[in-house]
Amino acid sequence: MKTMTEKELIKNLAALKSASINPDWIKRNREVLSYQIFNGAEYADTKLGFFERFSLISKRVLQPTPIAAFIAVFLLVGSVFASRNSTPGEPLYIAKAISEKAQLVTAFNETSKAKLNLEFARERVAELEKVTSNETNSSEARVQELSDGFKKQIESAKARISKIESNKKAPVSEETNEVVSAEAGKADKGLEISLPAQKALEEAEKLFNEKNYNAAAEKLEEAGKQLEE
Amino acid sequence: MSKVSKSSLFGGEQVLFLRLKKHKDKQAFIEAYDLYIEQVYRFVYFKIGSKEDAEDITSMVFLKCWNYIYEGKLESHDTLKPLLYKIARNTIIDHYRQKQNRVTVPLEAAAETSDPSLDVHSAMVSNLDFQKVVQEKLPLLKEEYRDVIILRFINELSVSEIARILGKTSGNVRVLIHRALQSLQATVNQNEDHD
Repeated sequence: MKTMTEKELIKNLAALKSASINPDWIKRNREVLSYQIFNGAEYADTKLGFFERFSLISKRVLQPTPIAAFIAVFLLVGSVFASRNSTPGEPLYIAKAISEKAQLVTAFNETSKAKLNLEFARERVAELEKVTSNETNSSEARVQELSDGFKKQIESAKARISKIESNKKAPVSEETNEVVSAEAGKADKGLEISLPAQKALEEAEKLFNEKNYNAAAEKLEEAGKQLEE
Repeated sequence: MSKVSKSSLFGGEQVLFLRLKKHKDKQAFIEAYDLYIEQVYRFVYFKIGSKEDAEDITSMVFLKCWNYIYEGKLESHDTLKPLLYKIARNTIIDHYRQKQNRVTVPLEAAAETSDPSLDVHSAMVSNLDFQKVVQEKLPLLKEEYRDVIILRFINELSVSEIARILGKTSGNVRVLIHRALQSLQATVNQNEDHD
């Protein structure tokens, strides 16, 4: 037999392709495969149960969330504590301002909010003293900013005290005469409380304008005590 | 096969691939079976040399492929044909590992004793002597050479398709094909010289 060339070899290899496969087996195997994939029995084990899916989700998605939340809370609390003695112009002063606003929002009633206004007004007085005593950190803009902050807190406190008064004044009506008479004592008491508080506030404002900061702070404390009573 | 031609009309292998990847379409997989069963069987048969084992392994290849698709592992770079061949190669390797102690009938012995009703074998032995020689000498080649000979010259896959199946570059595959062909030619001609 003669030697086979590369061309002949390739031709003979290609001829092997023409060999057909048993069609019965192809048909039978097709039916078996159809049965297997349409009934899905063979991949039942690969399906994940609810708890396995939940576990995967919690590992991939939920796990970082509490960690991030914990870090955020830790940073927030830390910065609020660190900002307690800060003055305008310092990086942490913004945290102090945010903290004050948050406290006002979360306060339960008008009395609590008014007390907070007084507390923050005293804070402005303390900050002003600190700023004016420090020659390097002192500037007109900062003094003005603190003065405005003080006045804003005083105005808010006054408005809240007025609101408390108006709420405690019972409406006069024949139908609700009993209720009115029952509430009358309390309304009078409210008026008794708020009047000295408002007077103390006005005095504190006057002292503040006179730059008598210590006396202004004392008057604010007095107003706070009146509200507590 | 009407389903194959219908599939080809609407974009052939790419449409099948998309139906399988996006919708895990069972009917699409049956169409893929019709499309690829012969070439996968041929690949397995010429590697194994046993009709029964080739049938078992080919069935297993399609089932494994479906599980692979069902689990959503079908990536965009895997078209179905290379995936089937990859699974076939791995299944053949597993088959050899599992049947290490079993007495296997080599391809040349199978040629002498096989069932005449087996169409693939009867087609081969009824052809020219050269074909019979090629068939006998194929199992003597290195595994890698046999792979490229079957894929390139019997199943007529492109070089890039073979590269994807074997995980090699097209350049490497070309070199491999050239060496495999030389090796087979040398083996066949050595036999002829002795005759």
